[in-house]
Amino acid sequence: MQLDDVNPASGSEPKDTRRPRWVYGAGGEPDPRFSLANERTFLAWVRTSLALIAAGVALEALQVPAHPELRLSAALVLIALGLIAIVQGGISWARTERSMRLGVALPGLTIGGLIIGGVLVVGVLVLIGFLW
Amino acid sequence: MSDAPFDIGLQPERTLLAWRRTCLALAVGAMLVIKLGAPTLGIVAGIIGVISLGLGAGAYVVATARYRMVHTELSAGRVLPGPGLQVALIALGVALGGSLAAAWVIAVAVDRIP
Repeated sequence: MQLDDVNPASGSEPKDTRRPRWVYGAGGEPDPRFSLANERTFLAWVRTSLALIAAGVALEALQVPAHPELRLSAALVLIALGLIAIVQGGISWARTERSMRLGVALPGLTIGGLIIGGVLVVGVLVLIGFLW
Repeated sequence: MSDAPFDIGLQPERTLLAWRRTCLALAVGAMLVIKLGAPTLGIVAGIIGVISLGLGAGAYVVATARYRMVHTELSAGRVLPGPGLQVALIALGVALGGSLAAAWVIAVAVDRIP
């Protein structure tokens, strides 16, 4: 199973075809365990995005007994946060992987504040919607 | 060919499971999109939901195949195969399903506003 390693014809490394190239074309190989952890962080963002979208849909699908316009606003904020989370999750995965390859500081939690603020707004909207 | 895991922390295995549960979550979301969206928004919503479901299924299959590659490559001392295709598939699946969710919420809620 190690024939490649002793084959003199394969002296050079196989060409790196991993994508996106702006990530894998830069720097050197980080510890693969860190790359895998970065992948799982991306997946956590995917599930967060799905949860936010599902919460927005649920407000209308279950016809939560709140003021209709406030309820619609809350649902749209939740779905917008979900769409922002999936886009940012993908960008963040790539930027983090690139930073690890270059050995520089990792990018910060760019949209953490936006998610917190958005969910707070949703909570307030639904609360007022109940009392209206 | 070694049966020993690459890492005693089982990183590749935990990552595979994270991919699987995320793909399953997307599949559930896509099926909800089809069930709720098709009656309200018509056949286009159904087709987009099916595409979203297919992207989740594709990511599941690619993730499983890649796990084997990851194990083989890392055990042989070579570099980690990239997850770029899986990342693209699942992100596109969520973005499509999420966009349809937004359209559905607007469609049903506007009717309900007196």
